[in-house]
Amino acid sequence: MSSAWRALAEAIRGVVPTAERPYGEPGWAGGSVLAPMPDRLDFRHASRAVHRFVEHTGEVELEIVSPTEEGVFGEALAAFGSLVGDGDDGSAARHEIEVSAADHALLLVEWVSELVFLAEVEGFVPHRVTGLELADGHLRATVEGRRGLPRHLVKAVTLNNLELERADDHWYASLVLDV
Amino acid sequence: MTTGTQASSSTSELRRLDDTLWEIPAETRPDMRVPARVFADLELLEAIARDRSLEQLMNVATLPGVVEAVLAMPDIHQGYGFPVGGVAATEYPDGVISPGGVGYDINCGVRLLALPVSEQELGDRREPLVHELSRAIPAGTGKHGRLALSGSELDRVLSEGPRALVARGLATEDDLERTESNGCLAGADPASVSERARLRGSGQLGTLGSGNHFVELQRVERILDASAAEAFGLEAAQLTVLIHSGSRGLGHQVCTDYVKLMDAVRLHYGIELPDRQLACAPASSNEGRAYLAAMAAAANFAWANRQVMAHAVRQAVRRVLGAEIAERTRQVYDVAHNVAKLERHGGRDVYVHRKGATRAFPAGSPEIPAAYASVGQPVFIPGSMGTSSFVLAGQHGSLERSFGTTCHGAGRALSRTAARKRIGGGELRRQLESQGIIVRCPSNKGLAEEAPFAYKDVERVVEIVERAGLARRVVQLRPIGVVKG
Repeated sequence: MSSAWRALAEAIRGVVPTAERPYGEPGWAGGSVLAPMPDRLDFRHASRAVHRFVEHTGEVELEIVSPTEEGVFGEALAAFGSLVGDGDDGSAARHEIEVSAADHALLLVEWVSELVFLAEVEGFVPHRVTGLELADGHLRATVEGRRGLPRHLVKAVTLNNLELERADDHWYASLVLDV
Repeated sequence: MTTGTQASSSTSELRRLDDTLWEIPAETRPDMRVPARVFADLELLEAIARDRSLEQLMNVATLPGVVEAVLAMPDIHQGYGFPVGGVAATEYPDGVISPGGVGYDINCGVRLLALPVSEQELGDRREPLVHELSRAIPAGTGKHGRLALSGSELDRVLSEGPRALVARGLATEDDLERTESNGCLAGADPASVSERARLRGSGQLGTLGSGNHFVELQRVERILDASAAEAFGLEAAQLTVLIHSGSRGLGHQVCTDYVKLMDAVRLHYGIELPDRQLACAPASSNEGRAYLAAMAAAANFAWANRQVMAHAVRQAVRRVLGAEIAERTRQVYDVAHNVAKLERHGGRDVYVHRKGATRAFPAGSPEIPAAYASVGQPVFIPGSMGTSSFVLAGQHGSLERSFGTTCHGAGRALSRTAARKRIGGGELRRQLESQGIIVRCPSNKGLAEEAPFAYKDVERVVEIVERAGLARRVVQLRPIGVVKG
């Protein structure tokens, strides 16, 4: 378990006093970017995943904590949408996405890579995911969003510092996007 | 000479080898096969040690078949897998090839054009020229170019690079002569490029992209080596245009495809790595050969991309300054800074991975244009909008110490988020314009992320490579107009 994960998990559990929480810094998200974090989250009951963008000299590093594995994938979409989002202009669009991989960390990479592809070739900005099914190296989901002008180029999803793991009753993921 | 001097507690594994070279010995970690060396002075080294770039460099030193030492240029910063500013040579034929060691933006590079006009002669046409440059070159996320290619035309570009554009009047033989590898890596195979990569890139030829890519109008501020400057066709106060871009979505997807493939097969080859992004396979394997063929195709695409942009620059010059000036706008050179090439160093053939690093062959090298044979290969080191860029010439020390390589830029010092926290795009735009730099950038946020203070001191970086004998300074360029994606 990485120290970043420990800090993140402890902060979300409310172990760390509010004033010292890393997610008090700008860039924290709780469901949507820059939304204020609740004082305490209890993942045994909460259905909410969170993400933050971690300082990285050259690229964009994303961390996600979620009570469910499916929540990690949904939150990755929310994070990506916040990165490339260009407002509510553009026509509504919808995509059925199906990806497979040898392990679920790679599946997360495949999932976000699909969003990178759609953003580049169709100008698709994802807003929400429905019907997300996750099973043994396979993911299927419907993604809704808009066709617009994504404001930020994401070149690729790297395998650098790639993690997707379960610890206690949470799921933690980290991935680095090349921008 | 090893003196054993230590840089600081944060870099305590480093030993000073000489004035500009530091080493992390191979014994530092049990999985390192060779030492990791850094070209820097103490101040740069302390900046370098603030992120994870040295750890990444040590990771690179674990690659199977890596020879001599892995190297970091003074502009090194944290990347993914390889650090940006990293160099690694692996033995031919069975050392590994690592797509992450080239990067997603395959053959990202820079091209310099020299206009036969001084800043004074440009006069009040500076703003119209910057405006025309911004109109002529599509910039920004996912932008499409004005050049539609059929499938077979794209295949020709992938196989031949800018040579495929000569018949269309978009390139000249002189442009090809003044391009690294004449704009074409051998062994390119369009069939090794996925349909998805073709889809991402086919409409993007002649486009800048976003992030740190730019087109910059500059003036020659200072001549530092008169004979080399004369050979490069550069004189005081002359105008130049520097283009920084790469292989766009096509290259990004080629790297994505082959990182995934190599991650899947590496255990078959018994390769264990400290970071999955270093995924690799023996260059002689089916996977290694397929990647090299696809990488060469993407590199050729990138050279063609910069070629189409160079043509667009000439068209913009034609509209503002007339046909005669446009026709005499000459390409100085074009260099790649994300690529792997088979080269001969120290009496053996090696695959040199350059990730954010530039080839810098010295005078006498058969691989540089005849016109530059007596002075060395031109190298362009972009600054950061508000700061100078430099033209260098490759030196013999590069062959002796760095597999024929030097730095590629100033190197980021601050994250994009940190840069945005310190200044807004609107304020930065005003600051640059108060310094006499016209800015065209569709995104204030994107502009702020590339603020000059987000980068290391480019003058210090080029001073280090000169003191290290890798390349020498020829000309200092000052920006007077910037077009960013």
